[in-house]
Amino acid sequence: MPDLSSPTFWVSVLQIIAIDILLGGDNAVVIALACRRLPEAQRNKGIFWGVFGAIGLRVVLIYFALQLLAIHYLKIVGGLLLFWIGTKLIVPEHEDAHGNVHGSGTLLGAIKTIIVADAVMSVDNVIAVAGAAHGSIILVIFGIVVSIPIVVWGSKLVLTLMDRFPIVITAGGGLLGWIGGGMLLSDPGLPAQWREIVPYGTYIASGLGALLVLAMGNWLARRQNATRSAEIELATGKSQGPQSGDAQ
Amino acid sequence: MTTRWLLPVDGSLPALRAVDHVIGEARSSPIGLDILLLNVQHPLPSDISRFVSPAVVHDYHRETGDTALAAARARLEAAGIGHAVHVLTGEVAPTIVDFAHEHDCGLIVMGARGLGTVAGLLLGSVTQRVIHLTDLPVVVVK
Repeated sequence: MPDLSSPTFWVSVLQIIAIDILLGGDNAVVIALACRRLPEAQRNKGIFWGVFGAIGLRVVLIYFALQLLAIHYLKIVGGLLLFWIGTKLIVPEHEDAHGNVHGSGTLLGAIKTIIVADAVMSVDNVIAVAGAAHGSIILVIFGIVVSIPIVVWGSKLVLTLMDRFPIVITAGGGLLGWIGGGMLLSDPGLPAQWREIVPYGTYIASGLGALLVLAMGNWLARRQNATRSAEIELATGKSQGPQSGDAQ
Repeated sequence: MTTRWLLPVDGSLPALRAVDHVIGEARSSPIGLDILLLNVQHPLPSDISRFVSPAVVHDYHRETGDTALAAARARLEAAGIGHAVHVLTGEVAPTIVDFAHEHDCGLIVMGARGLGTVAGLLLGSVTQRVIHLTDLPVVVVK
């Protein structure tokens, strides 16, 4: 049983909730976007099975995650993966960055998109939750339970968050870097003394992880020039009235 | 002679009050007003967009933009005021400022945004950033 009076426990709980909202919510958004061109009946079916797959995969993966993280050096891999996952969260969309998985107007196309997205995003989510749980099975299970309502209903919440408070996404990327940094250092393959040489070593590693993700995210965003704005053409030229040479 | 005003809206109530203000000004203005209605959306993170085709993301932004613009558009149309409509993606405040510059706008009119007091204090509103970034006059409607 976890120590309910320990602040670290509650910090982990908050971290897991934040991770679930961002990564589970992103999963929900992909499912919703993949299905939006389908006819009503198929759309509901697609969303149902997409959500079902996302939750099922998380349950299966989290079981393996705990076993895997006990293996030497695998936490280092997990920590590095978290740096990458955090970076992807920060870098905004870009024309060239779109995957080959096209959510066409067919049910099959939507299913393909959803399967790939569910698989990748569940792995991301589970690695992050396992990192934040510090080996506590209770916290891991809590992480899955929290992600379920978010995958089911979270797409609106996440889209609103991104629209109103884009800084939340950046902070989320930083959080994943923080967890990744701590995870690197807690690898069972590293000798325990390492963690004791430098005072507050774990916090320093976490802080550096967070900074690394923020720096990588900003650098990539700038390099691909993704912060540049893009015009969305409207369906019909609904402009009316006098237009004095509005050059587009 | 006409003068061009930029009216960035997000579908919120303060933005609509800014629209009402512009309608009032347009009615009493001796010179023609050329109104540009703009909605800017933050781009989706690559975590989402890498799975979905650009066309779907584009559709999503267009529909969200249409929804955000609908009320403002209806009010302008009811008042019989001509306007052009634009939807853009990008970092919101700099995008508004660049757009105003590129389209030779003489004035930006926007709502003092309803972010909520606490969040507004901590994060600063889009309106504050626009005022900070642009050298055009900005009318903030409360």
